[in-house]
Amino acid sequence: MIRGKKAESKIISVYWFVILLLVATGIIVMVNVFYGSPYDIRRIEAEILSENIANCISPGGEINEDLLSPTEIFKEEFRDNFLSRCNVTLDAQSEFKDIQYYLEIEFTKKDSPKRVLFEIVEGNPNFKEDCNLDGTKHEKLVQCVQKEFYSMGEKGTLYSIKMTSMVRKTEQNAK
Amino acid sequence: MRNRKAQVGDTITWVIATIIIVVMILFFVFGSSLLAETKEVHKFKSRMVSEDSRVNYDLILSKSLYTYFKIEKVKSQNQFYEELEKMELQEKFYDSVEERKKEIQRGFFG
Repeated sequence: MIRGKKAESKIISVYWFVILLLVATGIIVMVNVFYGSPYDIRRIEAEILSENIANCISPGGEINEDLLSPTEIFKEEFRDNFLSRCNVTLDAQSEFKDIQYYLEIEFTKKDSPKRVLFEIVEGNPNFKEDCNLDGTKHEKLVQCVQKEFYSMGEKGTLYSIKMTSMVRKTEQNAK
Repeated sequence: MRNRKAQVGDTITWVIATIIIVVMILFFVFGSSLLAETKEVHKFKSRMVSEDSRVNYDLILSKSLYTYFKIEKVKSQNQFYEELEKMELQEKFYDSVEERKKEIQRGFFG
């Protein structure tokens, strides 16, 4: 009788050990699943990019004088050296990778928003099409942020500035 | 015979208990995977423990408002402001146009 009880308690302690392992494994899996999934910071990155560019183009409500001359002509030189002038770096992370950013800035007059007067395009245009995909399909592929604001030329003309910034970096930000 | 019945009863209890434990673990693993998908990064105020810890400051809106204050003609200024309000209705800003305007006004004119 005592021998039977001993065997039973042995089986029960093995069972408890198995349950303990099961629960421990479950907790490890839960922590791994939660902390293993990356934070998607691409939207914020794209927004910060837009804000930096907005600061560069229109520092205090007026278009940067390096971009728009007093006679209100957009300067090609600014477009050519846009990245260095605005302190923006769109480099690829390694030699074998493409640039993961795309920027598009359109200047129109506030009164005639369809006629683009000047345009600045930088980065990799290959994933531009992904932004036009429906719904949430494109969210894992690329994050796109569109912003629009108004600024003024020296003569008092109002300009509408539309900025599109895109960040891909899917491998680092989405599972 | 009675002893065997008791053993069967005990075994069933343990088997059901095990199943419940496994189901609960699977439920929590699934829950944590769902929670993992909601992980997001926002801009936060320096003080995290507050009623609304997120920062709603929209720099892009401020840019347009700086321009608004530079417009000299009152009529054009009002039209411009209406335009901004329309954009606010289209949810193009994180921030309230009115509140941001007041804040900039305080900064400009004291």
